[in-house]
Amino acid sequence: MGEKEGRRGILGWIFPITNLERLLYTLHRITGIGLTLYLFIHIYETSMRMYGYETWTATAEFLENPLFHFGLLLVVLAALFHGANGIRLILQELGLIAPKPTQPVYPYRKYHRDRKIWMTTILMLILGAGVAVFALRDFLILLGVM
Amino acid sequence: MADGRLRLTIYFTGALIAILLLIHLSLFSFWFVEGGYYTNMEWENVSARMGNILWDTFYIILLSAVLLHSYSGIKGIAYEYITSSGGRRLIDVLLTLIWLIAFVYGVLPIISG
Repeated sequence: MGEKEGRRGILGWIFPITNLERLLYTLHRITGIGLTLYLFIHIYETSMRMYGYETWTATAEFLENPLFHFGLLLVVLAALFHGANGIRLILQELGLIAPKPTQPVYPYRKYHRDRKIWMTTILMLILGAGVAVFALRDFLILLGVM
Repeated sequence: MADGRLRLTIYFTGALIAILLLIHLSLFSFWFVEGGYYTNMEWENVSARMGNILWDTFYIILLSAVLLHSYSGIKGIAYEYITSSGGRRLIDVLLTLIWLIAFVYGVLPIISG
């Protein structure tokens, strides 16, 4: 088989779409790339402080609009997902939520790895959603709704 | 998928970021600080934090962890698609350069007091 045969390239991020781990993997990458872009913008924005009070105040006023606040909400949601899924990956890597694969020995037993991954994923989703609800009030205040 | 040392770097910095980011974000939360986001964007408050050695240390560690984490993640993705040694060397040089500039640009407002 050739080196590149069987490779899906970037499509491999999406297919098979029904695979939960693949979906989480893709979302993890997309949020990671998005957060990296935001990081550079945030560094640039923060660096405005070096130019003194006037520049900093002008920057703060420029950022003071619903569009940027909504963007910030998306960034926080992306960070929450990325963080919760990242913790799941670390726990999985350490073998704390799913045993490391071993050679099957007869009589074969049903492997519960998938169920454990599901349970941990649901736990992480609840954790992430809990923090998101907690953060929502802040954004409702920023958006002028509360 | 990033391998070996790269993956360990991602995991270690990721765990560190999860803790530090909660502290960073809570400063801007209306739950914990009167005036939340608005209070912490005020020039006096930002300057007070940047003039404090503990906050400076905190932000330098956070900045380093976040940059190292993103550097490793992007490098891992790039390595999946660029397999030639020459291409990978170019990616290494480019990413290192961009991330070093970002680090310097990020550290200057922290240490400028």
